[in-house]
Amino acid sequence: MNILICGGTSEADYVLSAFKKSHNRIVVMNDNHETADLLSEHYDLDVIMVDPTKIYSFEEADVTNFDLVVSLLDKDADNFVVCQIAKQLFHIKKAICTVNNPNNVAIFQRLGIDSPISSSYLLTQQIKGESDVESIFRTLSLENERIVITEIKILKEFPCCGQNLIALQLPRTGNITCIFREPEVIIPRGDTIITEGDTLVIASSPENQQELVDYIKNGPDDEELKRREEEKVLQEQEDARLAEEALRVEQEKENEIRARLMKEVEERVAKEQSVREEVLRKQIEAEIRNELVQESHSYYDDDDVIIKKNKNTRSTKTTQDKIPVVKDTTTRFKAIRKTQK
Amino acid sequence: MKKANKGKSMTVIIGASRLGAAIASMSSMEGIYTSIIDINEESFKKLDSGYSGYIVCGNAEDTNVLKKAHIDEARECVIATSNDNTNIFLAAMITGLYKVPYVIVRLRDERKAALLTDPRIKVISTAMLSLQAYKSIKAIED
Repeated sequence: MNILICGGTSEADYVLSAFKKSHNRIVVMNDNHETADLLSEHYDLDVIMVDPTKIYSFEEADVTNFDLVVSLLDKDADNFVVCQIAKQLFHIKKAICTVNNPNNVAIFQRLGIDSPISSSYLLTQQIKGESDVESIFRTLSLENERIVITEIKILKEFPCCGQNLIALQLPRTGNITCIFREPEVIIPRGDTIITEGDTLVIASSPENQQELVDYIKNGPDDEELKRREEEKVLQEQEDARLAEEALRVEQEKENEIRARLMKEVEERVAKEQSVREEVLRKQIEAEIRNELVQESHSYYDDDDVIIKKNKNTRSTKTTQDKIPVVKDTTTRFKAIRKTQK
Repeated sequence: MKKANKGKSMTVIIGASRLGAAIASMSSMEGIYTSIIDINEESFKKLDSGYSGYIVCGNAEDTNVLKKAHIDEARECVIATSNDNTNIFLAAMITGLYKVPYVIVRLRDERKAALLTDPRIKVISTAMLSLQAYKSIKAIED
């Protein structure tokens, strides 16, 4: 990476120490003698002693198309000009600078400076954190005050002490990102229990920070408790209704199954009945046929006489008498041959 | 805060330098509503005794100071502090934040004019003007 560092004293030193290690090409512009000497000695590089807010300085430094410019001058307007020259005239890709007036952070960003860093803003945050009387909570800001991270130490008297996260029901505007339980860092889940001495780290937007801190310290307020009661009642009603519904559906299903089974049984019974009838009928037919066959045997037994038998008669008595009934089948065939003569 | 008048017809001058003070005095004399901002109380001594516009002492980089000087009602803004870098930053900031139709910036180093890309901005380069004045004197000499 090609980096241009403009101005600054101890800041420039620090930035250089960070970047010199990895393989970067660094150009330093600083018009303060002492700083220039210090930096060139310490880091063994050339320091260009020019005013970085002048266009010819950039021409001399030959920094066209560099990747990054870091401007650490004292005045915001000077840093602005350095970044503008760098970006607009020398096509340097990104510009970072320090900003004294925190209001200028937004303005600089709007005007195209990639990362304006407000040192005084960060400083006041630190002072705020250190001087907090109760010093049970400290804040860190990210994304130019759009996200705050609050650290809050849990004391014995807090109502949330001993609760797990699900029971705690923290308002949705915040989220317990992690719990520092010395020396461990715990990433909490619903069943993690908050204990005395824990430090909760909560992420939220700045507007909601106070509400969340109050909630941790004092628990839900009366309004909230009332609302929860009402919700619980509604929920119970809903559950009851759903249970009833489920029961009804069960019943219906059972009835349906029962009806179907009944039908099947009936069908089967009817089927069996008809099968039985069929079998019986066939038996009877068979019997009749047998009888007929037996009767016809008796015809062929006699040499000369063929007697026409009435098929419908079941009795073995014939219209003609004295025809003995033959039980032996072999003679039957013999008899048939005889008559065919 | 009371509005000075309806619509945009004020002239706001930033920097009671010799140029700034002169423009303010001229503007006020012509009957235009004028306000002038300077970080230093002493600088306002340069103003004409007949000056009848607003005077705001403060840092023009602060938006509260600009509001006090009625920047919202400005038709024209003249930026003439003694520091080029401040002038450039103020020009960029004012064109970025407010809808002032005419912004005039005085720069000593005319090359920096390239940094001000907004079409509303007109640059007065003192070096160039001085050079032209010199040329015309030279022409007379010959």
